[in-house]
Parts: sequence; C-alpha cells; structure tokens
Amino acid sequence: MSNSTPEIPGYQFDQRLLQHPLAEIWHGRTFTGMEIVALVLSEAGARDATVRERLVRAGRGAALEPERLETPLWAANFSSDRPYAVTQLIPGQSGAERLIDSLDGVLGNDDESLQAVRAQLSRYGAMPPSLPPSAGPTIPSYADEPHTGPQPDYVQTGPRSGPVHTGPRSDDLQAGLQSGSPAPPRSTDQAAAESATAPQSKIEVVREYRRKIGGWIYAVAAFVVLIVFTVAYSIGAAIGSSVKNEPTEAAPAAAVSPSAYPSSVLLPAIEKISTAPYKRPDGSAGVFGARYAAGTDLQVVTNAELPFALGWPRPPQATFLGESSTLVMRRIVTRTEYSNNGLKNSFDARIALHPCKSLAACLSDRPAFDKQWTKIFKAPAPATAKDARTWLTVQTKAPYTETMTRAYLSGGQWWLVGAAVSGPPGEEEDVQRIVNDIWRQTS
Amino acid sequence: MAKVAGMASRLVRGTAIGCGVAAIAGAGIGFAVGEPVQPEDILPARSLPADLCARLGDVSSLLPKASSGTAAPVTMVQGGSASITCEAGSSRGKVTAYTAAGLKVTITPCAGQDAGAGNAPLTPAQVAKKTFTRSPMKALPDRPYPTRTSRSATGEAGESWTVRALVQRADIVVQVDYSANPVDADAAESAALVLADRAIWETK
Repeated sequence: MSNSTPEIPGYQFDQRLLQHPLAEIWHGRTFTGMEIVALVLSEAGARDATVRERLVRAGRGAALEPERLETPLWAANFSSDRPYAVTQLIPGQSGAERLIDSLDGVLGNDDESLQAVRAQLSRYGAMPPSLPPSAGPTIPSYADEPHTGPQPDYVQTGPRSGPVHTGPRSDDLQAGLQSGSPAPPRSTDQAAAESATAPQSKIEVVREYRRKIGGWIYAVAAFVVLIVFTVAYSIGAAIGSSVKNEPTEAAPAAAVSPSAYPSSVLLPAIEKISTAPYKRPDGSAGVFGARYAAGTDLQVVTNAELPFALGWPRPPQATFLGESSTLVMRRIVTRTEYSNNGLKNSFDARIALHPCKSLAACLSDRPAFDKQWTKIFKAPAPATAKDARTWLTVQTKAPYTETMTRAYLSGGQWWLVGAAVSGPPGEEEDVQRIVNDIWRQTS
Repeated sequence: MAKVAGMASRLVRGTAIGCGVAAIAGAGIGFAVGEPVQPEDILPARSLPADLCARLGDVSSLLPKASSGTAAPVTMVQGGSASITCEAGSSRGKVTAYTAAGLKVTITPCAGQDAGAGNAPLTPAQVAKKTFTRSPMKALPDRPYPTRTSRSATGEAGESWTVRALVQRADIVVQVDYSANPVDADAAESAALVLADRAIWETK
C-alpha cells in the first residue's frame, strides 16, 4: 500500500477520502478545475482478480449505461499497475458513489466504512445515502449490482481478504478519513455530513471564493486601489481649488474718452502734372556740349508725368520715385532689355520738380531745393550760373555726371527743375545731349 | 488551508497598503495639479457690434479731399465677424493731386486659451496681452493703454509714410495701419492713435 498521491495524467489529487488495503478513493480536479473522484486500486487490490473484475464492471456500467450519461466515466485504466477509474463529482448526482459501489463487495458490505465514505462524498454535494447504517443489511438499490458476485469466493482468494473482514479494518477506514476525528455516533447521515463540514466552512468559503474568481482577484485589488486614488484625487483637487487663490488679474486701464480726429492730417499736395508737347530738336545750341541734331530719331518720354517731354536716344523707361508736398521725383533709364555695344542700361536721368508761385519765389527757393534734391540723388549741386534761370555742374570723373537746376514757366505754373544725368565713360555725349534737351524743353 | 488563508491575507494587506499610498498620492497630486481644465472653462471671444466701424465715426480728415471740394463724411467699411476690419481709402479717380491714403483698422477680441496641463486656462485679457507683447513694434510711453507703434517711409521724396499702431486694453487688440502721402509722420501717428483709442472706447 502506497501513501503517495497517485499520478494520473491530466488530474490532480488533493484529498484522500478512503484508504483501504485494497483500494483508495481520492478527491481531485481536472486541469480545468472540475471536481472528480477517482478509485485507485492498491497494489494488493491490483493483484486480486476479483477486485479488478469489480472495477472493470463498475467502470463499464458507468461508461455504457445510457441513464448515467450525466455523470460519465472520465477516465479508466484497468490494466496498469494500479488500475483506476475517474468520474466527475457533480452535486446531486450519484456518479461518485457508483465507484464506491464496486467496492461494496470488496469491502465486504461494511456499512460503517461505506457510510463514512459517503459522508465524505456528500460534502462535495454527492447524494447522501438515505438509509441509516442501523437499517439492516439491506443495501440501497444502486448497490444491488455488485452483490451478483459470490462474495465468499473472492474473500477467500483475496490475499488481504483476512484483514478486510477483521474487526480493526473499520479502524483502518476511520484512520484513512481526512477529517481525522473519530467518527461520531451516526444517528443520521446528515449529522455526519454537517460535523465534517463545520470546522472547514470559513476557510472553505475563502477558498471557494478564490477559486471562483481566480487570477481576477489581483485585477479587483488594482481596481480598488485605482478607485481610492481617483476619490483621493478629486478630494485633493477640490481642496486645492478652494484653498489656492487664483492669480488676480489687474483690472484693465480705465477707458479714456477719445479725442476728436485731427482736422487735417494730410499736407497740401501738388496737383497732377500734365506734360507739354515735345519740341523737336532743331540743332540750336544748348547749354553745354553736344546736342541732338535736327531731325534726330528719338524716343520721346511723355509718360513720366513731367511738365515737359523728353527725348531719349534709346528705349526709355520712366520710374516714379514719389511725390511730397514740395517735390516730385522721377527717374528715366534705358530699358534693361536694350543693349548697344555692350552698354546696357548704362545711363540714367533723375529729375526733381518743385512748384513755385513766381520766378522770384523759385529763385529764393533754389538753394533749399538744390540742397534737398542733390542730397536725395547723391549728386553734386549745380553751381555755375549759365543764365538767370540756369545753373550747371559737370563732374568728369566716372560716372560722368551733369547736374542742372532751371526755373521755368509752364502753363502758368513756375517750376524749379533739378536734373542729374549720369553715364559711364563713352556715354558723355549722350549725357550732354539729354541735359541740353531738358534745357531746350524748359526754355 | 493555512496557505490559502495566508495568501488571502497577504493580498488583503497588499491591497490595503496600495490603497493607503494611492490615497496619499492622489490627494497630493490632486491638490497640486487641481481640477482638469474643461473646454467650457476656456472663455470664448466676445462678439463685437455689427456697426462698430460706423461708430468709429467720420474719418474723412485722414483721407485726401476729393478734387470736387465736397467734404463728404467717410465711414469705414466693416468686414469680418470674429475679428473685425474697418477699411477706408482714397480713390485714385477722384483725386487729381499727388496724394493718397489707406486706412485699415483691425479689432480683435481675444478668446481664452488652453495653457497646457496643470495650468489654469489663459483669460482673454492674458491672451490679448501676450499678442500685444509679442509684437515687434516699439512701445510708446505715456499713453492710457499699452501702445506700440512703427513707421516706415516709402519713396524717395519723403512725406510718404506707413504708420502702424497697436493698442491693447483688456481682451481687445486694435491695430491701425495708416499709409498716406504727403503727410508728416508724427501727424499720421497721432491720427492713427486717435483712431485706435476710438476703437478701444467703442469696444469697452
């Protein structure tokens, strides 16, 4: 007889319900957690052919009889060293007890030990036997089947049959019970079941609870911690918002009633200039240097909003440099796409205009006007008086520059015209021709 | 059995310790961080009156006179809904002198802003202040409201200026862009400031 837990693949046993020289009954679980009961023959029982025959018959009955399908035989091995049969332990079903039935004859109709085992099983919900042990030798109907075999035969042939029938055998059974306590006098089986259950109930509840929720217990614990954190956070936030002072914002500056708009913001502007018709070159003498020959083919600049038109030897392009209340500024250049002898956009004329009421006013405005426009154009101020209304300066170092200031009357309006015309070396004559043309147009 | 009970009690003890730590940490973090900012905590921008530009009044003195000599009052044209622009300008066809002016007033009521996790949302006034402070213009002292201005000249003849003024009060930021010629820069700037002050007054 081995005390070790039987090893059946796929099953785990945790409690020995009955220990007998011929057989053991174990309570256990499948790997999925279902409760089972296994009948395992001891080595002595395995050697006893009658006992094995009983086990086989009980196993076949459990497996084949149709009305017992709800408590099927789960596993059986009748040919191993220690034959066994495993059946499910279902509360209210008698499947487990059928295994005991097969022992019925083996144990020699020992009611007391059978009752003890049944009491054990009833803890797990098996159907308790309805008959008290003192009810006589009559065995419940489900125990009838095992009685078919002739009992004396196997009792005689069993090598350990002697002890089976002796008085102390009952004590063996009692010792085999896990409760370990001497069996109380059994008035009813219910009492026995309760007495076995009572001392374990609390721990059993915990155990059952743990088994039911399994690994989820940790998730539940984490959830509880999370809930506590959330509640504590809300409380802390509420305390914080009530204790902490919001940074008070400085009140905005008081709105000031706005002042009225200034009556006049803009300065008086110069009326737009209309351009006089161009005077064709006639070959007359100019103020300085070369001049256009009579009938020279010229491009006439009329779109620069100057009071006079201007002849330009190449395609011109007029640029407006802006107007103020006292000044009108223009620039005329050769178009960039035009190239002659590799000289490209090489000379330009910058012209400033200042309106004045009369010649005397123009003459008195001239120094200030010259200072202003030559500063803007970064050109030398016209210094040499050519006539009463013309002043000229020629700068021969590169770039060749002629600057001229001239007062003239056009359409009833006196103008001071300042012109700075410049060009690279080789363009001097063109520069002179343009200055002479301006002088001629403003005469 | 004892093992099961031991495990159970260990779990209960661990949970209890965890709950204690969580309670202290939760209360502390909650106190420090405060309640989370909800979208409704962020204040929206004010809506400005639909006749705001008309309320700013006649701006004809900032614009060139028509050559016909009639001094008709000019009210600015309003555009936009969240941020309002008022515009007026001189028509090149009606003016026969070398003068022009363009006027644009942008009045922005700022909305609150999310200031990020753990911070109270910015109020509209704070957002306006931030917008004002980040402007690259130069601050102008001795003004009833925070003011910044800039000016830039165009052309070579002078007296042609683009003046900008930025004024902020509470949640309102007003920017005035005034470009005119011929004009004195200081006169243009003071006119722009008057216009900005009027916009502030009308939106207070």
